[in-house]
Amino acid sequence: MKKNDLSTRAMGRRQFLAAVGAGTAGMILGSRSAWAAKPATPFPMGKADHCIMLWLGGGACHVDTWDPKRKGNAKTREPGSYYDAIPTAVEGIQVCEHLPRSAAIMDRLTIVRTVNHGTIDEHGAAVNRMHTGRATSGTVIYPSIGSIVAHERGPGDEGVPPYVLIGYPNLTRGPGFLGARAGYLYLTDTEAGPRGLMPPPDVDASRMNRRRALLNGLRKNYIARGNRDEAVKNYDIGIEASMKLAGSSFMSIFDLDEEKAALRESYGGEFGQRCLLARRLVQSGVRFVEVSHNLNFINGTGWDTHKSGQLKQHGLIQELDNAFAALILDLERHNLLDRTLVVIGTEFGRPPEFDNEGGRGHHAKAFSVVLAGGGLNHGRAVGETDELGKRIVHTPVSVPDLFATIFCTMKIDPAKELYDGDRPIPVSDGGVPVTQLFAG
Amino acid sequence: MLAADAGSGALFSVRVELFEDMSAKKDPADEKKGEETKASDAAGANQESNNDDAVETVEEQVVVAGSIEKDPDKVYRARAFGFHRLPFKYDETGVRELHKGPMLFRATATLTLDKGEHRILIRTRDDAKFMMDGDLLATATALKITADGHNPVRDIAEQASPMIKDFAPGNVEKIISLIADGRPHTFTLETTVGRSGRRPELGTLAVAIAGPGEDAFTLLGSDKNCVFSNDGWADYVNAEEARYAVMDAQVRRGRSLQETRYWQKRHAYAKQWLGEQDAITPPLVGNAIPVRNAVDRFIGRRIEDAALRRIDREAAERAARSQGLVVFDAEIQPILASNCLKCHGDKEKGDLRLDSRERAILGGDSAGPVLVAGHPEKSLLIKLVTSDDPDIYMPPKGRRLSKRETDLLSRWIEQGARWEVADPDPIAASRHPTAAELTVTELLPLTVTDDLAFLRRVTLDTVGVIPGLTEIAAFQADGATNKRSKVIDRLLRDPRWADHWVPFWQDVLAENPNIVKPNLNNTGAFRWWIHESFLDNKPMDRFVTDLIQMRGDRYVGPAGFGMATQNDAPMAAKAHILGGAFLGVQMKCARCHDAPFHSVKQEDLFNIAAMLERKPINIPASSIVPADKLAGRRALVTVSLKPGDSIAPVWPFHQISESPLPESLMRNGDDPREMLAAHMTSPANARFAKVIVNWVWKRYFGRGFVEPANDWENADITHPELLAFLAQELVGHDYDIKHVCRLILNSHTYQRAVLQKTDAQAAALFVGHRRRRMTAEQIVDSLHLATDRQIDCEELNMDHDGRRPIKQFINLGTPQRAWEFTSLSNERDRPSLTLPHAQVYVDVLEAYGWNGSRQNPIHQRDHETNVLQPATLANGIMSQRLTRLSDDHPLTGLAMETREVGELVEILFLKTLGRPPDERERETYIALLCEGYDDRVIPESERSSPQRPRRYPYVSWSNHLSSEANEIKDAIARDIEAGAPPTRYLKTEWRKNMEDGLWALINSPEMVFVP
Repeated sequence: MKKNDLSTRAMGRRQFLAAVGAGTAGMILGSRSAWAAKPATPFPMGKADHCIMLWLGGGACHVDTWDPKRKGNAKTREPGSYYDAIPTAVEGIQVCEHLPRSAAIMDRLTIVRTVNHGTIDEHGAAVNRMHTGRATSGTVIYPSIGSIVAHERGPGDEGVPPYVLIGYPNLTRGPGFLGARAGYLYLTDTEAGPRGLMPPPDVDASRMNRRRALLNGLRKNYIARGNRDEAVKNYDIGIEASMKLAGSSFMSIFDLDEEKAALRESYGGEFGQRCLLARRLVQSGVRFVEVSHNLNFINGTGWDTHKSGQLKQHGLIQELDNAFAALILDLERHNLLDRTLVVIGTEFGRPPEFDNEGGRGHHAKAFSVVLAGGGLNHGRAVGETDELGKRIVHTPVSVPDLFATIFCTMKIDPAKELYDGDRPIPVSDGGVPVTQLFAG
Repeated sequence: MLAADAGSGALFSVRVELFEDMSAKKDPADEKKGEETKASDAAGANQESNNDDAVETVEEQVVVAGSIEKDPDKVYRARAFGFHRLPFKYDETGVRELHKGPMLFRATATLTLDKGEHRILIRTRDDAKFMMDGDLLATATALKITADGHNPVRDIAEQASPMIKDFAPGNVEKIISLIADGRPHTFTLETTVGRSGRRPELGTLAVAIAGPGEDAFTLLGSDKNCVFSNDGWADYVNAEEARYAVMDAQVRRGRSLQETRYWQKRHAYAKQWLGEQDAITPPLVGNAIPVRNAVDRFIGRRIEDAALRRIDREAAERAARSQGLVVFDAEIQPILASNCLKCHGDKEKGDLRLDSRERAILGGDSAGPVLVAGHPEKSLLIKLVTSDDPDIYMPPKGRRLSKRETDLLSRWIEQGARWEVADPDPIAASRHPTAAELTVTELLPLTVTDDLAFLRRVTLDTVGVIPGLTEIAAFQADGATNKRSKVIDRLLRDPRWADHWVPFWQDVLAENPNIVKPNLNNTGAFRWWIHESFLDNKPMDRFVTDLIQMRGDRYVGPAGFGMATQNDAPMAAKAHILGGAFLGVQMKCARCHDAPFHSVKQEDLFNIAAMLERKPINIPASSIVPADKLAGRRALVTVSLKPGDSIAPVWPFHQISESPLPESLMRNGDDPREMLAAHMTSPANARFAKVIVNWVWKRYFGRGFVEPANDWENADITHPELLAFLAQELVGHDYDIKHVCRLILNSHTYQRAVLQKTDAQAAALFVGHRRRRMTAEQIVDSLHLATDRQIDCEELNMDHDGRRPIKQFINLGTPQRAWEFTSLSNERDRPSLTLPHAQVYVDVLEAYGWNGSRQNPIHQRDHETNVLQPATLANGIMSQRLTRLSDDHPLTGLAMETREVGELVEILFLKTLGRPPDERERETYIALLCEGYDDRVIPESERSSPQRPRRYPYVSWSNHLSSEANEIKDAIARDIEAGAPPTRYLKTEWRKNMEDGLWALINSPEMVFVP
């Protein structure tokens, strides 16, 4: 499979042109050099070509997952973790008891325990913050991280989209000012495949052929009647392309039955199958896959564990643990792990305190995001929170810093400026990557 | 008010009284607090906690019946004891507002029931009482539902009774028995509406009755004519809704008579003002230019100019060539245009631009002179286009330049790289070119398009959908020579005219309501006000004045325009929108700093914002680019304001409008909003009418005289005289946009055939019509019209049982037309918060460039073709629903009717493509459908019994955090994906053929283009 062909070539071209210019004609106009010259990025660059973001919608409780603390009691409303902690493969790092498989591969993971921002009241705004890497502003519609990756890296292969979302379409996952080209292709259900690309089940191959024959006749006639302006031509090309796509190798990516049954089982339920699909998408060249863990029927609230939502939270955690560990090991087996950054993201954490029905509210002053693969130096926890996980003790990682880390891992300069019309917008909002992950 | 009663007497036996603002406890402190909230709401702040877990405050109580001391605020009649909504309310300018809650709703009728035992059923959302002659017969108590989302899903068994209408979300029911004596009695139903800040909705409010020995319930007061079943209620509501719409329109127009008189004065003044201006006379054109009206003369004159110029230029070129010179225009420019400018034009790849000599000589990032006049060997351009090295050659993709082309470039540089650009001014035409000359220069205006193409074009452009069968037939049957004008007049009167204007203004005015709690830059749903304005053909100056005044209610009226939630300076956002929409002043940059490419200063924007705010505005720190962010940046951006600076409410654009209106026409000259509206809409404003006219032209031709249409500062106006002429027409005809549209639509220019060649200049001269792809809304609406289907959607609402205050959850109703949809963005990622029916349509709309979320104004949608567009139409669920012949599909009925197969084919083509099939198509389709045609219908005796669609308990915000709610929504989504089962009436093989034929028609490229 050819990867990066275009991007490396483009990069080579640029560097080369710069060299030619300097060598042959050193006649740069003085005034121009001042604003044309850009400082080389001071940031370390990683090795990843793909990113999978597992999204825990609702705000996953860090003290009940990746940052365990002393146990509390929901009934007496004594603050603390809801579960016991267990050791991991890395000495000194503990996680919740319902994350045993992840614990066993802790050497391939980094838990960033000090992510923080100030948006807690409203899920929408916090989700936006954790997808665009910055606070909202009244005038600019910021692109999501998936769209920035799509825009900067493009698809890794021909015939695949750069950005696929397995979850509900929404604004904060969208391309913002980058426009539809940097948008996602979405599906909500691994069984059904991407919306709009799979013919309905009652249209079998023979019907599809008949349909196409009829349509091709109408198309040919239409153009033959003298309708051959640019607009029609482009749309007609679109029809042709969509027909190709429907029967293409890209669509076969969604056929999970191609995988061995044992592997499918190791991934677990629908969320696991989504993770497996994510691996297949990455393998075929998709740059960014967001996988939503929104299986709210397990506990009603999903990760937004107010009130009784807390009671079955372990069901969510186990499902995540299972699928996540399976994904990491599967990527490793396919030699994709070093080139694929896996992120477990969420909009905020939850406080150690319990509400009057044993659930938890929102907490954004410190929460955990997990990074795995992507060629980073793993097996560590970045930052530390206090004895109840409420405040940061050291090494805070702001949202822009977290995003800069992801961008650097993906070989994207976080200081690069994108343009919303005439307005320059940096890829990350002044973030600085967590350098220890890149060292060595 | 009573005058508004539409109908009375026996048919409308029920009298309804509505008492507003009936809060039982009236603590002065509370009232004050209410005022404060209102003030901050108006500024668009959204500070209330959005925590999903918010606990409901104590229920607001309503004054109990019997002790009402005031007259009802509204009295009207209803056909029976069945109420689906309240009539709308309008202020004295005809702008919609909300009824002030809490309200008491009282319905009374004197009726005679048959002697014997009756069962009486009461359905209500809120507490209700039912009385006979003042004696209480029954009370119904609203469901106890907490506001937090953790309520259980109600069991469906509780809700269903096969004879009776299903429960509406959140409704309760009470059934009592009543022994009637056969004499007349007065029956009264009372309920509360809009308590605790909730939307003033009724849910399903009904009293139904089953007489002695009767199984079915009918609405009380309907004389047993309205059965209280699912279908019966739907029919009743449809009929009532039509009546309510008439009643609403009467009230709206009646309430605003005074206002209308004011505008008549304004328009008299506008005419007087116009009389003092120089009239713009249409120029003369030669015989070769077809002329239907003045529009064609202006357009024709420009074409003639261009043709003469082409003739001159060709002569000059011939001369140059005879001297061996390379001609830039003819030989170099095309090479640059097709090979270089895509990247090195506006996009400035590598900082290089090749669209002017200066920029090309300046070079780009590669730090060498791209162009050295006289020295091709020193010019990087030649090196790159001739290189064989794949890492450097240009263009990087696609075809390499030919030897001929590179030689031309070399010779051209050697000869000094002369860069002649044609003189843009019109030449003083000494003569009119002949038709032969126009033909030679390829600028001969095309002939008018054929009748059916014209009908499809003009119908789409005016009412937003393709013509239906009867419209096509009537047009074809009309033998009059002015049949096109007649059609235009008919379409301008069609109420769907309003449906087609709403989406345009939604984009331009950034209408951005959100059904899940307000988020960034959410506005109220002022779509309804836009719709009503165009239903009433509100003059454009009045429309804009209403908008600026932000009157009415923020959830339904133009006050909603004034909202911008989570924005640090909402009125600055609005000033930006108004500037682009009505002044052609682009102030996006000025939001945070002085504009680098425009003369607009940040202060100008905030002046307007302050006028909207009606007081000075202090610049929020977050609206200023911090100095450290400017350091190192290209010193393009300057900031002349400081955080906290107080900006006065004064009009900043004196070059656009010097003085607003005469004193006598100002109603309150001290009101900065009125002052702003006066400056924006006065006839002396040199921009306003032109900007409006430019938008109209852009809609009908795909490009304006000024592009971008929202930014006139550095614009080249392609047809300044025509623009000024049409603007004068608007001003001189009471700002009636239909007048201008009528002129344009009747012109030869509009009716021309489509220009097939790619000739940018010919297109800009409107030599032929430019084909436009339908808008997303036109596609969805037209496909439904073509297949006789209705949009099948749930209510666009997350709070179906009406438990939360309107400031958190609005209700956008059940869409009938595509513009009514909105973003379904489910940032919470909860299956229970999806609207799976609506998602089907939103997928199609979004693929075709519609934006459900409009955080910023959109002056031009993304028109690019992408593979998802045809794919969605080919495979998506909407298409499946439109093409699968199920029992309830109207085309199933059509297919079953007796007719020749050829006739059916003809109908299918007319319904979809608006034209009969040609010979080959007819043959293909007859071949497809004739096999098994004669016995396609399954005899009744052999039909299987119908499958009842699965029904589910309702999911609303109140119960969405339960596991079951998530499962229900998933199950509904799967049902929708599976679609309705194929019909039992048609034989499978034939049905499939018919479906496939229909599928191909709606997937044809012809379907989605305005011809």
